[in-house]
Amino acid sequence: MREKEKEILFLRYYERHKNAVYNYAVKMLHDSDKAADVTQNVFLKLFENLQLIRDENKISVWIFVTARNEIYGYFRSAKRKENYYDEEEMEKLNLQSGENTQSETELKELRGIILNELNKISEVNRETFLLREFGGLSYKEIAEVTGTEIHNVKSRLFKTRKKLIEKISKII
Amino acid sequence: MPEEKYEELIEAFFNNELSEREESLLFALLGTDENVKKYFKQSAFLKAGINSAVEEFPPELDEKILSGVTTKQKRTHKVFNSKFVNALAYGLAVAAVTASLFFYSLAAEYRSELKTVSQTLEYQNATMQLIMNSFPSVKVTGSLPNEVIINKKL
Repeated sequence: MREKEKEILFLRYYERHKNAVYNYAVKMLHDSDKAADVTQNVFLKLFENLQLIRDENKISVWIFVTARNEIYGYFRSAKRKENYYDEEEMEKLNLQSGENTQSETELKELRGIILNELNKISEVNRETFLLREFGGLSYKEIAEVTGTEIHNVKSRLFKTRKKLIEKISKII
Repeated sequence: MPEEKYEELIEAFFNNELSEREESLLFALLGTDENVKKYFKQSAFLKAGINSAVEEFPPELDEKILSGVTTKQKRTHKVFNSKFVNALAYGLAVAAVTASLFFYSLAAEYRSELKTVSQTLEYQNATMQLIMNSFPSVKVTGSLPNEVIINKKL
């Protein structure tokens, strides 16, 4: 692969996946600085290994497997697993308006409930949900990243969504 | 329709995993069933909440990653383009050619030596056979007055 081709290909994958990887890392680590480091490492590794990834359809899986390894590596080295979002972090989250009709306050409250509730569910369910909602991966891709079967992915997503809906139904 | 079935349909819809046939079924249900409509609304509300939790990609990170990639690229480029690497590659190629010529001549020499040795052996073998054939016949008898046990002409 020539240098120019490699660069173009990298930029294409980078633009397509950067937000997803960063958001997945932020939600998993609850630390935007660490998430930035993880995102940087993932994309530098992608650039280094671009010639080795032959199947273009597997790029998303490769990226998220690498991100997941980086995150779990961080968990192992830091020996920590946070189980809550602090209020300040939640305040930092940017609100994206435009496509929804809900008011800003409602969304803020809703976001708080969702993020808090996500911390209460099991790690596997949370991870599966984050890969779907923030990573934008399909059932098949999530199954490949997490090393499980598609029916497990479906069931985990269903349970998580149902639980979150139960919680938010109180404020609707 | 059973509760679990329409919930699954709505779940698949929000996960972008709904087939066209299922999608039309879901929309038909949304027009007729109040429970389906209610669950769909709740799911849409949840989706809006999730979308609002998406963080913007920090511009400084963009810069950091892209400059990191450029540095990496330059480093690789520099290594492969440096005079030292070129000279080293040239030197290795010359050494490889010299070594292969040397081993080739060595192998040719061994081959001719082997040929000479095998010819000498063949000649010696033929001479020995001639000498053996020129011996008179031998009769071997036991010390007891028995019959001849070996009677062989060489």
